[in-house]
Amino acid sequence: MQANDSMVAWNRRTADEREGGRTPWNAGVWGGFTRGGTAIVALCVLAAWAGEGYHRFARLAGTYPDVAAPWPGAGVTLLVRVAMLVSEAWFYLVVWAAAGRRLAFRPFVTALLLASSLDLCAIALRAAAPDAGALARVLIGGLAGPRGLEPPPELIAAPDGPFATLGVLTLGRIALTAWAQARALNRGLLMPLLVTVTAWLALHLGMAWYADFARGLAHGDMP
Amino acid sequence: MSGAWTRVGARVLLAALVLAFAGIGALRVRDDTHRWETPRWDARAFRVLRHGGDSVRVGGTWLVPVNPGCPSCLAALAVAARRAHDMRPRPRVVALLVDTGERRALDAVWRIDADVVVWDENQVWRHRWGGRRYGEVLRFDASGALVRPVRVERAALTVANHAPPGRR
Repeated sequence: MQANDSMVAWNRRTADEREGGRTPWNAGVWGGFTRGGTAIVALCVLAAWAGEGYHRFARLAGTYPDVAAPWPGAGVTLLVRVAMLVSEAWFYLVVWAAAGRRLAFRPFVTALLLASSLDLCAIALRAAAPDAGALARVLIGGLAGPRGLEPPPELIAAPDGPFATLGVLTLGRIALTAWAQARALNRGLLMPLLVTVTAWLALHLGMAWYADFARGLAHGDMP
Repeated sequence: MSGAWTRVGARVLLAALVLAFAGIGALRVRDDTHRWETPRWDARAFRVLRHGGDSVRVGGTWLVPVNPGCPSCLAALAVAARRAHDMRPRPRVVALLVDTGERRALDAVWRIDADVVVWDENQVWRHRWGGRRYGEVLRFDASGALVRPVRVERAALTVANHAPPGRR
């Protein structure tokens, strides 16, 4: 009930109010969570990112001599993830500013943090893929992208294509990101969706091209 | 006024991002279309710092470019050396020290786990072969011709089949 009231109140605010920098940081976040509820969920997501970093570094530390220990690794992962979310929010802020619209930063970055729980799910599924059965691997591939079907390389990461992580969860993340923009800007979903899909494609193509360039294309692909 | 400036600034920033994207694409295309030399194992192209492994029956050569200051690629070399040791016929593992000066190469030579250690003093690997990634295993047959690069964890599975290039 409280959540519904919060959402109605948020919807009643004018666009100017929301765009004037006075927007509460939890405004418009996924169906109008209360401030406390949003804070709890956000902390849970941050803790889950730190946990993901801990497990990732614990796995890698045995293979790579120059990898940090798990606890510092968890801290680094958390900082990097927050920096990535802030950069992502700033990117959309710039895109909409170029079109003459102002996106409230704090609620949007909070919405992105909550949406990033889908990224966490995809990472966890991909990590579970090597030990999963055949049917489970197909499901993981559909949800978390075809990269989930590959066992992790022992030392050198396999060159990934730009769509290696594209699965249902990624599509959901794109949709949530677009929806958060649509809510924050008080406009339809189509344009934010086009912006988000274009940004996702450009980022992943750019990263794949950079990876190709960094590893060199002289001797063809590694088998 | 500040709104107009914000809009202009945002457009300039977006244009810069689009340019960066196009630049990365251009670099990739340029790299892809560049005619690099096909790598060939010939010890005379490099300076041999340590030679060994002649007592084993050698089935080709695994050349692993490493930088002495990179623990991860030295670990990759150690894995390749372990895998090679179990192979029959056993490939000769050559550590190619790249992107490093003579002094650091000479300092590193005795702590590197390989049959042969050579120093790429003329940057053959990077500038003529187009190599970029430390730790990849370049596999050559007994005559020194490139078979194909292999990922370390798959090397043990694929090295037994010495098919000439183009037959896989």
